[in-house]
Amino acid sequence: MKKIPSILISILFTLILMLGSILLLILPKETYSEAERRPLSTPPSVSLDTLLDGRFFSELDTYMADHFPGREFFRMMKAVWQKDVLKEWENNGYVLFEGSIIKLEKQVNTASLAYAGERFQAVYEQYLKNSDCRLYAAVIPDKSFFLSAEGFPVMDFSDMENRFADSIPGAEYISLKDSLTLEDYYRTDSHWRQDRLLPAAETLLLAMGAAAPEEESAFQIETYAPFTGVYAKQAAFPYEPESIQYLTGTYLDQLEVRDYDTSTVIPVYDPENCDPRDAYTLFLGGAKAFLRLENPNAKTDRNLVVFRDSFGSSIAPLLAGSYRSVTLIDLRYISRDFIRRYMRFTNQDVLFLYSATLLNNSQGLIE
Amino acid sequence: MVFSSLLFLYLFLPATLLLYILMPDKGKNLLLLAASLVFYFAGSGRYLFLMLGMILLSYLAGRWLGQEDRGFSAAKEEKEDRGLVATKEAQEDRSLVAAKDAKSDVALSPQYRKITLAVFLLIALGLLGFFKYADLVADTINAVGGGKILRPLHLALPIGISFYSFQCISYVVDVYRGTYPAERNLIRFATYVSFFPQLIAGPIVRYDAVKDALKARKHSFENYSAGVIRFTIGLGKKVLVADRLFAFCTAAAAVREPSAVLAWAESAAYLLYVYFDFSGYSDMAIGLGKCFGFDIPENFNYPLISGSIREFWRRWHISLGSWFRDYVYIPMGGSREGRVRHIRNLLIVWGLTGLWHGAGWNFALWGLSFGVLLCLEASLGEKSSLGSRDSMEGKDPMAGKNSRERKDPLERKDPLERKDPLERKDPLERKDPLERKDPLERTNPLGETLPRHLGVLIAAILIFVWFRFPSFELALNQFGKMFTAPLWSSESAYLLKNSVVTLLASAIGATPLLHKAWDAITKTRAGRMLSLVLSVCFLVAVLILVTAYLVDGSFSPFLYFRF
Repeated sequence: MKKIPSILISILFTLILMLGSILLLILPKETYSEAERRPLSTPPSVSLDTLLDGRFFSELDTYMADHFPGREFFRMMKAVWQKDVLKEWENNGYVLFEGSIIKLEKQVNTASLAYAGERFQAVYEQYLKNSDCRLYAAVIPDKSFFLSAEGFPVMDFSDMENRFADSIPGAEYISLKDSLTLEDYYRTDSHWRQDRLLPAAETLLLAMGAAAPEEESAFQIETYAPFTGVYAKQAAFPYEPESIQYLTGTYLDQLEVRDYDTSTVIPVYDPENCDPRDAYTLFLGGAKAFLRLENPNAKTDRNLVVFRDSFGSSIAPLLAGSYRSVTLIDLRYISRDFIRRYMRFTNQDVLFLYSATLLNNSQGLIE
Repeated sequence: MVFSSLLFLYLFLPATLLLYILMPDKGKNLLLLAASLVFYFAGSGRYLFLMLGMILLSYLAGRWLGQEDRGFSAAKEEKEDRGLVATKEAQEDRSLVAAKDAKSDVALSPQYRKITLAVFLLIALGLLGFFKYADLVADTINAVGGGKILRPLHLALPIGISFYSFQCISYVVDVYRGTYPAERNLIRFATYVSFFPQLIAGPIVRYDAVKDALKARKHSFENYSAGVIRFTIGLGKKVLVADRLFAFCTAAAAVREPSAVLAWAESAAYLLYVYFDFSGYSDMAIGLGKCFGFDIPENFNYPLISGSIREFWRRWHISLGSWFRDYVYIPMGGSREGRVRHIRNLLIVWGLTGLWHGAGWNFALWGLSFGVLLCLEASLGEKSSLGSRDSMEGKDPMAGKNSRERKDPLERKDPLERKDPLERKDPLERKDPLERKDPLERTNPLGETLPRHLGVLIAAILIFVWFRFPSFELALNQFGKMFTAPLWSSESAYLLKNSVVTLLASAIGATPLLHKAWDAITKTRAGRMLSLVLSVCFLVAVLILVTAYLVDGSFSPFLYFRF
């Protein structure tokens, strides 16, 4: 190799490595990763034990990866390389399909389904077995369900539905598969869009013998922007922020939402105070253990209880139009023994409404 | 610590390079030794002391066996008598010996030398056996005996023990044989054994390949930049190719609807993965060696284009093949003592080669499978017209030309095996291996040799199934998928489409085609300019992408956070 090219290559290589080292050393370190929703690692502690068993160096490597300068840029480089050059659909288990970022749920997690089933059965045994409540169950498809027709290796959703339905004795299963499309979900997030949920709400309400929701034209649409969902940063694909559209008007403006955790009344939508990192929290205040939506304009005395996850927050206001009250219980935040403090189960419609994503990862349900 | 880690790339390597550049020549070995010990300590912790013990033991054994270099002088004199040593070298050796003889007349008797060597080998192989194979022995005895006869120790394997043990053994045996004098400088010897570029993944470097460089070496931008490019090639092979292939294999193994096409693609991808992973590490070792002024011998030479199993093993893990040939196969008699012993020797060597790769019977079976094919090839070679080439080579895939020469491995003149590795050119400048004249594989047109190439490839794909799976059940399951599963499934289609670029690119990358294209580019003046631009782009792109993959490796989302 000739001298000048050799010098150029030698210096370039050494400079790149040294630049990386110096920036890593001098740049300020973040403590939390918004993309991953986790605290970033701290410098490893030095001790004879951690040195001898190799923990110090492996933790140092993790620390360097967590705090590497331009970490999100490098993650995006990798995602783009895999998608555009290697023509791979997946990056860290996410695919970009027709502009929507989708996490592939490839297999039914039977252990997780079994765990969730035990939790629901326990609720059934404690509160519902000897009650006169009418029981219903529905699984909300995750976005990858809509890829099965495209040849992607996704879980057998019907299998999940069957396992879920079997775990709640006496419940009538309501299928939402035909009421939803991929467009009914946010492009950058796992959740469904409230402004597109009227068909799904209608399916649930009619199956439970309640009145269908009002026509779409009866509602007004408000917008919260910009909204970037959790999948965007996790997948690391380049993305455009989107917006959350939510329905107002008619009975929705008079709905009263009681938060039993704090004994306060909270708004149905709270765009001013929602966490911008998780803007989906604008629906019913986000993570809440026990809420009751009361509809003073209800033309019925029927009451609905929904055991739910975060997907329930956006559809509950649409269901509330056909009930006197809708009680929302999130078993991730409340132990089932505490439920009796707030309510009795008698003559209600009880709906177990869970997303496929939660059922496949149900470790958050309180035992 | 591994090369493909941020810790190595952005902390250890730049710090070591910087200190090495600043260090006066006198202290460079000491710096390399210190860096190597830190490198090893970072990956192996307390096992550092085991390696230091092995270094000290080998050094002392070498000094003991090389006392007054009697053996060395005797061997040299014998060679001189046979006219095999250059006069100048012989004179130097004689004067060296004469000077030492003036100091002392003490020399070890042959019996003491043998005992010393035997004790050393017992300890070195004993340590290797204890740390690597104790559990295999215990598990096997328990399985055969049908109970808990021996309790497995579950020891963590000291990283690189197979490599540094073999380097130490080759050094002590060579000193015993009088191939070269013992190293007197402990720092130099410890630097040789622990040299971090080749410490944990080879190649197995013989002492005589680097002994001159340990004493004095030249540093130049040409060498450094060649090393940098070679290191970057290896890094890219490991992180951007091998790891992707491994991800494909993992995904393919987990499909719910297996198909024969996918199972074959998976097994082929696994072979490619091992090749890119291992040769990538070797490239990185050779490249780093160049950066520090050493010429580490080549370890891979496009093995997947081989036209015979023998050729495959001349191109695959070259340093290990030659080690077993020189220190096991030939001392056992090679092919000189009849057909039965020849086959026995081959099978022993290949069984050991397999076990060297891992403490599991699947590895032994993997090695033995190659051994059986080599025996078959040797037999067929005798009978076919192709066998009319050097008959000893036809019989003996591991040996040299004739029995007299095989007595001293260093003197053999097999052009494919015996060329001084140090004399080999940089791989970027090397002649295309396809252009080399191998009388068996290269005299026929491609149309005639293609079936043989395909046969070798298919054999390698099948044999590497043993290498991959730790249990016979899993391996047989994979064979079952390859031969009895439905031809096609939708899940297979998804996976194959998802990885088609990686699979095709790696298949092309395993041949010398890119190398030939590079040679063609650099033939003209404009091409050389272009090659500089391409080299710079390649370097930057690979470093960015590798960093991207390593940074993303820590991606660990808390997916189901509590909203």
